[in-house]
Amino acid sequence: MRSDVSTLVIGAPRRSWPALVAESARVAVTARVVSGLVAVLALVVPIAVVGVTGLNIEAQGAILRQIDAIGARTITIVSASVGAAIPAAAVERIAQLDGVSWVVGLGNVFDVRLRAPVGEPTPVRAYRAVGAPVIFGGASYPDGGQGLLAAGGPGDAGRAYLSAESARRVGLAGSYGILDPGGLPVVGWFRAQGPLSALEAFVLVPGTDDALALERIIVAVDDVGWVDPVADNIPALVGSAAANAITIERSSVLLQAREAVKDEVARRDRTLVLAILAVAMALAGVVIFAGTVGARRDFGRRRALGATQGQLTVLVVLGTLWPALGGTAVGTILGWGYVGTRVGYLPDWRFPLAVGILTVLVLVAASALPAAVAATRDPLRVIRVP
Amino acid sequence: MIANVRPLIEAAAITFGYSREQPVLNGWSGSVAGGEIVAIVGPSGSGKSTLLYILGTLVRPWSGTLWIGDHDVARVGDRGRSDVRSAAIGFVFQDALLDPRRSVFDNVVEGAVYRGDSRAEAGVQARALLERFGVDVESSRRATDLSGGQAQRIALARALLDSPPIVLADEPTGNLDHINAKLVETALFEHARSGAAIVMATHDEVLAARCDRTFRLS
Ligand SMILES: Nc1ncnc2c1ncn2[C@@H]1O[C@H](COP(=O)(O)OP(=O)(O)OP(=O)(O)O)[C@@H](O)[C@H]1O
Ligand SMILES: [Mg+2]
Repeated sequence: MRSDVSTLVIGAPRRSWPALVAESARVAVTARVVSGLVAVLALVVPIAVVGVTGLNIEAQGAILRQIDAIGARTITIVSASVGAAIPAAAVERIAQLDGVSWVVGLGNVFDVRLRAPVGEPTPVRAYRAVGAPVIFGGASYPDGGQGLLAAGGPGDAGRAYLSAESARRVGLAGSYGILDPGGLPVVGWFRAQGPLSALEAFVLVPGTDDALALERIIVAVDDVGWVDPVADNIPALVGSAAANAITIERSSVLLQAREAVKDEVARRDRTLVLAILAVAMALAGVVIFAGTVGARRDFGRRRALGATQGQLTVLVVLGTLWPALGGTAVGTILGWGYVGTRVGYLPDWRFPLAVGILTVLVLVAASALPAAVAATRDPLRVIRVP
Repeated sequence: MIANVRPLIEAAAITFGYSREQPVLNGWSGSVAGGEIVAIVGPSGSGKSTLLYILGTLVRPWSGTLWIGDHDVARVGDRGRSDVRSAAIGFVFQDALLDPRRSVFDNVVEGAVYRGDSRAEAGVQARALLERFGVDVESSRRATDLSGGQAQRIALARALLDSPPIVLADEPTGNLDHINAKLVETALFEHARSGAAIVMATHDEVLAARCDRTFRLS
């Protein structure tokens, strides 16, 4: 209400908030270019942040899976003394534990000569092994079948397998040759992958359980989380003679590498998010400032019509808030959905929500300085601009 | 005519200029009581608009005192001067100063927004004022591509919204034809007769002669 004409007392107006909030929405609609640019920024920032970090989390997952494939998920059991060999039956027992993917038991290494149908005998090293999941091929086994080294089947004792790689190297095309001394026939080839690929340097001689004394067992678990529980159970499964004479190696170096990767990705993400937000804030600041300069006469008029500096500040800040909210809402959902489609599942909604809130806060903060500058400009100067 | 004991506007020894070397106003004094309509006359560049800006608290004089009602506005801060403008002063600018991106209606009720008055109530008044001043454009139409006369009458409606006790008008009849000029003049005189203090800058000596008093600048 205006002050009463018949008195000299000029009371302060009520300056209510709802009227100003409604006006700020009209301001946002009127200032199409500035609002549009703010909305676009608000749209792009969450897409960039949620998109990039979401995919980084996925990339991190890929690296971690690689580390796990190298052996973060493996436990190695070594018998510490020659006299305390581990019974081969331990392999079977460990394989029964929850969370175990596969177990391989390795006996002693022995040097032999491979006598091929043609050519000179080649020196090779051989392993007695049980339980390894390898792919067999050759005369006595259909090519490409997965199998375990064990009594019966392809892993039957009394035969030997050459790695596909070694077979090529020594020029063994079909099958195959004889190991001397002992006369063990080489009846096929095998391929070993992942942590077991080191076995490809050797000729494998499947051991029958009871005949074989193991020097080393390698256990792979389904998930790094299983490493400790499985390792803790192993002493009870290797037999009383071996229980105190084994060392159990958890892949601690790899586990540390795993943590380092996680930290590194998190650190890079933080840096990236901060950079995106800083750039967005700078751009928004420039856009909003340019907008207030372009609207100088507007501000002069509002001041002449009785708006306070505080009201003008609020108009600019809220005028930024509305397009920022709109753009951010859409951008956050799009970024979330984008990561969802790339990764195959929708990540936790709290992260996109937090990014959205952060984006709105950053854009609104960017408007504070231009708002204050615009509000404190001399109204006369701006009115007199032709 | 309602005569107040003290004038609504009371200025003494006002000095102001846009540069130190060239004061536009040099020790100007004057007062306007409620119910009075006073003309500021003088050649172009003599400081008529400048004086209106000072009286309208849009600019602070270098020195001198200015009372608007019970406010010593040369002394109060920006907030106090905004309050005075909002509560007591209606301004008609030389070039209307409408927002061309907003509707005619929004332009007229804009001041109510800052006062925190109801837009609906202000809207009723706004429509009545627009009708009274013969503004024959849709009030929902944007305030762009208007004739000088239309813009000036819309600006007058905005200035008179909610009956301000003080109206400062800068050549309100400047660009208008005779009929429109008469309409604006009548509205300002009627507003003065209702008790308001009106100060109007004009080049029209005939109009100035019809006012209660004249401030002459040189
Ligand atoms: N923003 C400004 N910066 C510098 N000088 C200004 C500014 N505004 C006005 N002036 C100068 O101040 C003097 C008074 O200007 P003002 O607009 O008050 O005159 P006026 O009497 O209203 O003129 P007119 O009749 O042409 O409207 C003029 O010499 C003008 O050039
Ligand atoms: Mg002028």
